[in-house]
Amino acid sequence: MATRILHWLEDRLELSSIRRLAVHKEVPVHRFSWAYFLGGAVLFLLMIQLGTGILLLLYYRPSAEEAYESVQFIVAEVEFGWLIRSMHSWSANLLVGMAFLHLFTTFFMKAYRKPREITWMSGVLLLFLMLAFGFSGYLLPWNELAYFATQVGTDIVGAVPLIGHPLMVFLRGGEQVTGATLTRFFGFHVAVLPALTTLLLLLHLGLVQKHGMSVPPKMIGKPYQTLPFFPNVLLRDIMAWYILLAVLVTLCAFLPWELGSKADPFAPAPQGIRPEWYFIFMFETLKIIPSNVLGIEGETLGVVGFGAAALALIVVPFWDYLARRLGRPGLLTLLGVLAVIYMAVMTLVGYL
Amino acid sequence: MNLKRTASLLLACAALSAAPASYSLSAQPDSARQDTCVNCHEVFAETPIGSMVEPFKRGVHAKAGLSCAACHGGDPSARDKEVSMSPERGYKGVPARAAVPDLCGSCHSSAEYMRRFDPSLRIDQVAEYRTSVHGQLLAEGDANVATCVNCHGVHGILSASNPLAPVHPLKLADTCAGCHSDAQKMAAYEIPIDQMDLYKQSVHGMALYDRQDLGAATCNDCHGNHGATPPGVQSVANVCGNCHGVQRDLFSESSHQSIFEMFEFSACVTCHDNHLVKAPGEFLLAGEDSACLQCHEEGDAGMQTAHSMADDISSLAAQVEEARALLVRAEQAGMEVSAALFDLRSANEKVILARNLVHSLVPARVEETVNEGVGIAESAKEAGEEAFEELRYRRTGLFVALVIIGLVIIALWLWIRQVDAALEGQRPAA
Repeated sequence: MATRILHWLEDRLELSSIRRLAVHKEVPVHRFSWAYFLGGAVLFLLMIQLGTGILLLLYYRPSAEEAYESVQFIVAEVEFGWLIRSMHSWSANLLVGMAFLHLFTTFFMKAYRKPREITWMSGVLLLFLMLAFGFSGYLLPWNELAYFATQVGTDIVGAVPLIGHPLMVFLRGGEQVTGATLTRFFGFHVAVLPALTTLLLLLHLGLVQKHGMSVPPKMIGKPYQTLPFFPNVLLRDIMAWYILLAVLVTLCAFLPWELGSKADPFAPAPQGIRPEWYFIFMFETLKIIPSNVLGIEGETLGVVGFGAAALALIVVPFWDYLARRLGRPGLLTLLGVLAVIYMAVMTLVGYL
Repeated sequence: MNLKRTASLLLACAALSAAPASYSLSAQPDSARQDTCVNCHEVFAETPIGSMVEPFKRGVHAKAGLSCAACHGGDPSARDKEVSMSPERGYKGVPARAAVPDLCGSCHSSAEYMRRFDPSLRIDQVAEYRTSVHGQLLAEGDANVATCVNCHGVHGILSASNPLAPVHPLKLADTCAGCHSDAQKMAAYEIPIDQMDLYKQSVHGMALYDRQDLGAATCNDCHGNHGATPPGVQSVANVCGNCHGVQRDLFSESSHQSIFEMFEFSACVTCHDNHLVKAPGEFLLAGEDSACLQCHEEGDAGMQTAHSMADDISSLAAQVEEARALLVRAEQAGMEVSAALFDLRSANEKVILARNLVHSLVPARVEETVNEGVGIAESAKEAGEEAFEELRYRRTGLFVALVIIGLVIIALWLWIRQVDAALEGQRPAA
């Protein structure tokens, strides 16, 4: 019976082609092979986000009047609601962390080189989407810290030249952060961003399968061992996911994600307003830029600078091509090291 | 007056005498020419004869369109000071101190005049002032007592709601203390000078200064504004009752009411003090600082009642605190207990209500309220205990989950070893 069902499916879906792909896929073995697990870890955490997000949607109500109370209800009354909400929040943070690590390892292993330029670009865009998920999701519980952090965050968007103010109004649904902003962010968080992520993720994963795993430049042209993806590497992937799961549930049990107090637009902003940790380096940078630099507003300069850096990051494969043409292949690596040190130092400064 | 100030005053007087010659009014625009008092005096803004101009301009009188002449007389339209400041034009100069209340009252006591500016303004200030200790002493010829200007200022008079006004709630006590804490000034009247020090330590003073609570009682709330007089023994309960109405009503229905009247005890002050009003607490009932011990003795029926009420309330307060501490610990452990913490507020309200009911001197009423509060506190405590039970359940669940995950990881590791070994077997030997 089972064989007949498999045959029926095979006739229609050609599952053997996927099996053949899995069987033939080989993963290089070297001292940086651990970096290959980071993409899988991001994917695993993304699946947790999807699952817990759908469960949260069963009870969450996206309005200024009910959002906080509905999250409170999820945490206090719904069976295992506290676990689902904590997993969603903790996993979001681990996901962004893993995505950054994935980016850094890909960058320093120069895995963006031909023919993987589009894989790199789709990956960077996916990271930006993860940050957008983080920013929009942060507001959804409608608590005090999130409310004021969103106000600060959207104020910064307002500093973008020419389109800053209209963009800020579009994001907020008005001049101020209100219930309209919450509803809007909810829409971005559960519809627009997931749709874009799905498209880019399919492209990214498809390209990874098409081009296979890259190896560090020093290994190119030299003989190296490989491991079959199925089952040797897949089993290792699954083991890594279980370790991540153990970390995640431990964090949820010992440090359940706080809800804080309900947002009150008429209350004075509490002390210590700051964005999520992954935005801290940008936040701190904006704080140290002088208010006026050569007649340009400091905040505008900062926002334009970060916009330019984001664009530069997307087109890294082409910078690399240019640097090699100029005979300075190490320049980009040096810039990358400096950027990582800068981000780490500024993040630390934000917490000191 | 020090030498420097005297010199500057003389210099300014000399300059003002020469003003018509050296200061050309014709150079001023028409609008500025309308008040020659201001035009001339403001030239000497840095000296005593001109320093009043700026405060006057910021004050309520200038904003209402009044000129210097409203109080000092004279003709502000005349350019020559000999004319504008001549008795023929009604110039009165600086009013005598004793004449100040009448001068202010010439406008402020007239309903017809005052309604032009604000129909809701009272017009009985001067009449009230005459009934005050200040007003009575002034009538007896004591020119040292406070008149209108001592509290409201002279030229820069501001509305009482203006935070800069000396009669604003946050500044009023300091204004009164300006005289009443001055040993030299008060020596002749043989009254204490420690009111301000005591007030600052009182529950009212702390509310006003520490919490900036403008609703907290300050000097005028008990002594009156313009009719400032110490409240008498019979009226003090009414004075306190203006804010503490529930306590006043409970007290007036209690057995203490007639006894206090008989012995002419001041109703509230006997137990709570006057300027140093203590924050309410069970220490006022039982213990060595008990106010009851002023009349009762330990062991008598009155003290037994006091102890019974104090024990009930203390017990409730302790239970509320215990439940709150438990809930806060649960909250810090990451548990969601905001609903229980919210409910606990009403138990705290029962503590406050029970403290109020002490004024009835009926222990059964206190006990009934305390029992209601105990019920709420117990529910909150149960919620806290349930939260900790849930926390233990979570930790146990985590342990079980980690054991299962650990076993799966070990199984995977063994599987990986197995498939790697199989792979090595398949690979050709190097």
